[in-house]
Amino acid sequence: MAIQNKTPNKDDCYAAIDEAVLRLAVLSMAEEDGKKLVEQNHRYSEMKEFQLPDNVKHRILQEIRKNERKTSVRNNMRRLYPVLSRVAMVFLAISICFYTTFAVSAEFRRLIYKLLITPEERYTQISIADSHYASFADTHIYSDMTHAFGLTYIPGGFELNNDESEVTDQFASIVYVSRHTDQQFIYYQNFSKQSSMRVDTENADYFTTTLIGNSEAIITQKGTIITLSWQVGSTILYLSGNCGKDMLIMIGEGVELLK
Amino acid sequence: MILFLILAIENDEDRQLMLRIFQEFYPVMKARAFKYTNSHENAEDIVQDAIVRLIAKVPELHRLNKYQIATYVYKTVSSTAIDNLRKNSKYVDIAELEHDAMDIDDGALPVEDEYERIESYENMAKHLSKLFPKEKDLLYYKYFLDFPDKEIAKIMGMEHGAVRTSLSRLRNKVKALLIKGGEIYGHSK
Repeated sequence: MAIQNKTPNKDDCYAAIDEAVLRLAVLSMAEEDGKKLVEQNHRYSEMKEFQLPDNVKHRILQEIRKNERKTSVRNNMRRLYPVLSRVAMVFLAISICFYTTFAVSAEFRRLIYKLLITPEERYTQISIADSHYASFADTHIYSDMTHAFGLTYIPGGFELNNDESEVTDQFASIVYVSRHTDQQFIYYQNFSKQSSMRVDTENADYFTTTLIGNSEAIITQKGTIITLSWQVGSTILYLSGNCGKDMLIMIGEGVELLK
Repeated sequence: MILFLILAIENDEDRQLMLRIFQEFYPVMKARAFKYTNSHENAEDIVQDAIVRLIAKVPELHRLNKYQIATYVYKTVSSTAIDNLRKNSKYVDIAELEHDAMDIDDGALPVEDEYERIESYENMAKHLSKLFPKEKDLLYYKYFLDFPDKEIAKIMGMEHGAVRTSLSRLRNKVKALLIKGGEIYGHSK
């Protein structure tokens, strides 16, 4: 008899104690009998007629192992869950900070874009090196525009375009176009001291270097147009065209100082 | 078939417990059922019915230790077998079942020393060993398996009223044994 949810009298309390003690005694008796039953069970388990069939035993063991694995995974997940939720919170906070900064700061946006797509600059500034002896293998003394560089080799089928060409004290700009089609051209420039030029390298297909004579030249390809720029003495030489890289390098190698 | 019944349990912990019980106690269950039916096939049926009853009692089984579970399983098989026999009345003489006792070679426990002080819960069992087998069964059905009086009457082949009277008398006897044995409590109403 359990004590009800009301003020109990003495008899109710005694009856509850009696029943609790009785249940405890029966539980104790069950435990003692159980010990003997376990021994008895052990004896029966050695008798073939009371054994579980092997396939059933095997299946039970499989199921028990499966359940144990499942329980183990569930317990691990239960332990891991607080850690994961904390990591998720930290990640969320970092994400919020990142996107806020990204939305607010143009400098940060540019930095991220640079990290992601590494774009080429819009142009590359080319100027004469401070000491040409340090950069070039030849040590001739070159004059200024009174001793100009000129093209000594032009492939067949090209002719000078006088309208587009120009020669001043500071620079020479000479254009050759194909006789057969206006599409092909060769554009040659040289710049004397205190000059500089820009080569369009934005989104260039490639940007590398090669040797023209004894000088290191920068080669840029953007679509079909290839550009070569190099320095000889105190002069910057620039060659551009759509007649192919090898042809342009050959033309470049034909540039000589004409005294 | 029995295995499929167990595997159909949805709760993982309940299923695991029932698998372990079935794996561990199958021999004693089958042996006990066989004692009533004298047929392996019928014994299998009894074990299956007992498993169904045990599945319904899984929450209680979770609270018991290994030895208590052994007794619980054993008594469930016994009551299931008796129940089936009463329904079919074909395996053995029902009259024999009136004296359903735990068929255990328990050896002689010291029953004479009634003044031994009960110092622990374990010692209570010694004092209850002085009861008759049928009285022990009555206690098990009522206070361990929690059967209603009507169910106990059916299993033990008694009238409903007789169960109540027997239980009342038995409670006083147990109380007297415990008081006499260990003086654990005593009060006057």
